[in-house]
Amino acid sequence: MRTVLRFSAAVAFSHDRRQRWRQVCLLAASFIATFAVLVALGLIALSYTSPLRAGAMLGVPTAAVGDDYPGMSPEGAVAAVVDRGTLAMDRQVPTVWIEPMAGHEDDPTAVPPGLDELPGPGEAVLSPALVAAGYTAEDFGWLSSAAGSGTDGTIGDEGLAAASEPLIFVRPEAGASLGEGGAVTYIATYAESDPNAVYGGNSYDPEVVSVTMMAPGVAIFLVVPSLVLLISSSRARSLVRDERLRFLHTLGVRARTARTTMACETGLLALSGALIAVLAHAVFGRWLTVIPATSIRLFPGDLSLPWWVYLPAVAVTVGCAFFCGALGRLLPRRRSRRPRAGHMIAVAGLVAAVLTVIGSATSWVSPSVASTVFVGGTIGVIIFLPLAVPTLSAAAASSMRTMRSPVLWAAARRLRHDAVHLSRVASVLGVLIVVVSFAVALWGSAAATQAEGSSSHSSGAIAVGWRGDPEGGLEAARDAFAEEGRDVLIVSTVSQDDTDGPMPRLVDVDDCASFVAFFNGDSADVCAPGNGDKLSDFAEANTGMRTPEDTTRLGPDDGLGDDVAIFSREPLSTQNVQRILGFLPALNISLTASDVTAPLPIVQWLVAGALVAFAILGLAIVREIGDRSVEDSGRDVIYQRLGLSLHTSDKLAWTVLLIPLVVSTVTAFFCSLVISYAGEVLQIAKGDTLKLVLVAAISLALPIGAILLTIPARRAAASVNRR
Amino acid sequence: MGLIQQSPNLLEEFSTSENVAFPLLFDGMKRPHALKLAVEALRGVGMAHRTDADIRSLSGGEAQRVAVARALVRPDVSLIVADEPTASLDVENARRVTELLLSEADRHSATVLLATHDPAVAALCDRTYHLTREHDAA
Repeated sequence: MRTVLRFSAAVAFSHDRRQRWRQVCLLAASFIATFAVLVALGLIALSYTSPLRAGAMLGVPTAAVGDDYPGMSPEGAVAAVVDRGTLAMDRQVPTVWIEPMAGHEDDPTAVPPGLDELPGPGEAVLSPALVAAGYTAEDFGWLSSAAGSGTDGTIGDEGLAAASEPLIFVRPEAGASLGEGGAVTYIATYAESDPNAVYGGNSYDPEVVSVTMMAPGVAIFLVVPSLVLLISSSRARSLVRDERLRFLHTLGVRARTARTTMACETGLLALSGALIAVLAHAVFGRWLTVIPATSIRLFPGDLSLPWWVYLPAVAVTVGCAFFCGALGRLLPRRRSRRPRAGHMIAVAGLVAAVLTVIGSATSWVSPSVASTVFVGGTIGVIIFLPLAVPTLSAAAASSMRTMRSPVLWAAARRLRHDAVHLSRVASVLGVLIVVVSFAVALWGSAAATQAEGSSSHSSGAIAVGWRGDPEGGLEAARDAFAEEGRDVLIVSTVSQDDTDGPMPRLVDVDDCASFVAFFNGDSADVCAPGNGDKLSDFAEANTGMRTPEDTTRLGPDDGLGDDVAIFSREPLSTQNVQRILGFLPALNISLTASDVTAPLPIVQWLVAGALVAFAILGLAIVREIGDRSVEDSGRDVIYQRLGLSLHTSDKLAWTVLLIPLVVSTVTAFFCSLVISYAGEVLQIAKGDTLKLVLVAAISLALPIGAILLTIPARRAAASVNRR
Repeated sequence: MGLIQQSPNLLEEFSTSENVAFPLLFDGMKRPHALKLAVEALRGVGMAHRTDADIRSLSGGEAQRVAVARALVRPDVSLIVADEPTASLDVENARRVTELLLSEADRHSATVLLATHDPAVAALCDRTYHLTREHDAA
């Protein structure tokens, strides 16, 4: 074994220039793969720890009494809180309204993590991300507080899921109260955290997505692409390696020993790259805080890992390289017209994976496992597609072998003869198309959900609600707008009993004359006694809501509600309403689609994943093209010796390249369509044929562009070969 | 013009006859006719029994004979340039391939320009020129 290792090391680290390409490819690929695995493990760990850390901000709710849920009873509470959303940074920023219970104003257990003390009445503490974006408490109608434990009195890190997390703690004004019941949660203590707390559970999306999304996400968009790059690089050409193998064969060394030698050579190079990656991660990992192409920023050290985690990461990449190194060809292939069993299994696997994805969207599969079956089928497609592309390319080539054109005939024969080798670029391209298309489909679904989640007000009204005294709040709101000199109409709205199905809200007109006059109506006519229908029609025409009738059954106040609707003659922004009415306890403004334009964190993570996957797989394609360029230059020389012109040999090379690329692109596009539309049925993804076509076209353009760029290098290599 | 080199440069994906027919096909000749001429050329070099053989199953001498057939397959060939065509062959095969090349060239009324280090091969040619570096000659 020692001899094998020494021999392998001599080949791996040979100073011969002909080994340089392989050394560069394997070192870079193992570095990227190991680093990617480490980052993936860090992200998965973070998706566990981040909600726990941020969940501490929720505190421990009071114990359940009777059939109630925890947090519903004020018994033993130190504070009452209401979660709201405030429009900032083009998104709904989680806003925690906190009111200490009587006698607990100075109780340290009533202070949430990230704060040194409770903000004063009417004051708000912002997170560093909001301050960095230029916001102040005054922008929202509150007073600034320096009660936070972070820089300049902002919320400290211990209460945030991520550095870019926008969050606000605000305390009602003196004399104002969050009231009781409904949306109020009573907190027993903030000194401990509730292990069952679900951070962001109902009202907003945390910056770091949950582990159930993060784990498959990093596997598909980070680990699989980097392993594809590593597998591709383990096959990088080296004449030195080929010569040493022939030498071993000539010496009569057993095939098993020769394979071990090849595997060790690959493993040693991969180990070098992996160790550099470990070193880089250990030194710089603490400073990995930026998620590329997103506004998400992590805290320093969020992706740090304990030392022992480096061992499995290195083992995965080196093991993968070792295994792939052992699979190399020892002797020239024997000619076989029949496809090898493994290749047929790959096609069967791909068909099975596609059928699994389709099946997950049918009624045959239980909804409880449909998502798991769907993800399993998608991963199956990603695994089997690159393995099936050579067989599909060979089949396509077989159908072209009787073509009259000598170029097509020769290209088809060459492809059929060596489909696996000549389809490598196409195989990686297939993975790239499926992975990026999957990300685009998930992104489309998340973006659509975000758009649907934001209500739209066709009447142009802004719906507002608050806690505490409804009547007093309504008067105070009218006064506040009057002080600002804004001509607005504020009317109460009520909900109907919706036990038999969704019912529209109604407008409760308390001053008919003012109401009708605001909309330039004839109050003498509309407000005349007995003209209830007329008022209702008038209200519907101007506000989109009718007035209650005698038979109307009103629903209970949900506590979150759109208590009033604000109409304005002049343009009135949500930000202005927030600033003017910020004094109302637990102010809630219903946001519209045009307000919330910032992409959700899950959308941002998907964009980052797609870009990273595209970059890594693009690198793998470029690397494969490097090998092809060297090989094709040798072919060019032979063709020219046989009397073919440079133009004809170019046509041949392009045809040999394009057939598998087209086969792979079409197959991957079909798989992507199936995945997207099946995902749409399951409400996981969104099918968008045009976007998928664009992904396929851009992906196909990548290798073609790279080959065009390598043509001068190929010509130069061919010139050297001729000499 | 036909070209023969030390390495026969045969393409693995094609059979013997297809390798020989390869230049004709890219000259625009119909495939059946090109293959017919290829088989005739192979017959001329004594390889008629291996027209459909896998290239990798050929011996070094056989491969070089296929290369000779390919160089002579064009009906109008008038010049064969052979660069060390027997360098990788043993003495017996070198003699056989050279004799074959010369006789087939004669049959096609083609001229052969052959470069070799082997005096035995050179001796079979009609005319020989010794190429030396200037300072060696001095």
